[in-house]
Amino acid sequence: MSEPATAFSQPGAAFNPTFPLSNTLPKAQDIPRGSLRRPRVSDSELDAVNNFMPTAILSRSENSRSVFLPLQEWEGVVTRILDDSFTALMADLSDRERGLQDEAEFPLSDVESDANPLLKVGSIFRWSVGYVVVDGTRHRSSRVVFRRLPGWTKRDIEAGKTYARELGKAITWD
Amino acid sequence: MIIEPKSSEVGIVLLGSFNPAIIEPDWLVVNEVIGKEAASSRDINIISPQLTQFRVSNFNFNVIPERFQITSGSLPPIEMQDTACKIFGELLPHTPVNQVGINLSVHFSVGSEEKRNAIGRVLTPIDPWGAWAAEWKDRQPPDRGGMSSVSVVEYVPGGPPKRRITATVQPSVLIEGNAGVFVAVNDHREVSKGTGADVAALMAETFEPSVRRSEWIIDQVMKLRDSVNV
Repeated sequence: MSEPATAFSQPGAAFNPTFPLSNTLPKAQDIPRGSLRRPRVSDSELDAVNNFMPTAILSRSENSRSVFLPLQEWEGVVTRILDDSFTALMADLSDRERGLQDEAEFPLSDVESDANPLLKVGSIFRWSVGYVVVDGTRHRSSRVVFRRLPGWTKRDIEAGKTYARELGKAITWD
Repeated sequence: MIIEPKSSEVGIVLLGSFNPAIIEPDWLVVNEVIGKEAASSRDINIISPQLTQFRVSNFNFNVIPERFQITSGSLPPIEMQDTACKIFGELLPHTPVNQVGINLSVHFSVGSEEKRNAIGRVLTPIDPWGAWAAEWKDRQPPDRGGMSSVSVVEYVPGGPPKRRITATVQPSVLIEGNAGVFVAVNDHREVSKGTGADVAALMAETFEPSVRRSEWIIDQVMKLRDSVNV
């Protein structure tokens, strides 16, 4: 290749990681096994991420570049909220056909303060486990993100009503 | 991805009709698109009716009246999907939108300048350039010529909306030692006479699969590191 022409190449924006890393994780035995997103990720590597000691909170730097490298992701539905933790039914996103087959317990300290109003029975969240690479240095990352989904719109409700009417018409009564 | 990138960015670009002045951090907080604590980390360049540029909670917003762009490098893509869906599905559902782009770009090292040069020669052979290429092909850096930028497009059948995927490869300006490659994948859809609500529905269904496919496309380029003879 020739020397890069800055008129063409787009280095992209500077990245400024400031989100806090979780200090605790669900118990290792609760982590679903057997269906990882990519075959090259081993259970021992997943164990290493799940049992890590907390690393330093990443400091903000205008010149730092960070990359999130996911190892595994689950989607969960909150089933119970306890004093110090909450439980959820989890779906392994690398094996979506299994559906909500796994159960996990998460400490409330894993929930960012911004997400507290979102923590309710029935709330949906994404649990992402992987690495954040900042300026070439890897930091383990475990992130519980409650989905900020759009509310039902009038259009959604009308569509639902139309669907219900059509279903009703399709039912034949003896 | 096969090679761990040094830099990675996911983005959503919408072409339509927008009001840059209303897209600002406090508006996002009040409407529960992002949390108050997350919004405390902000870097505002400008907020105006003609141009808005700011960073908040690891998202970069860049808005002009004809274009809305949100990018991030350090968050799981699902957060970007939810942010875009919340903004356009709930808050701005009537916004006219006629084109949607889901972008993924990475910078990664292939190990050496020789390796990168060999990859460039595979992607764009210089022999067809005849006597002209013969004049400079053996020069050493910084005078060595060759591939500057190459793009390949796939027209995806089906739809509507019409869809095309474009992958662009260039030398990277980020990686030291002239050993870096930049790859950008743009997954573009024409949503003729579409609205914000249409975009939100499209994002909910296609954003993550699009990012996964883009990663797979980038892997095809990354594989060249191990297949070129250097």
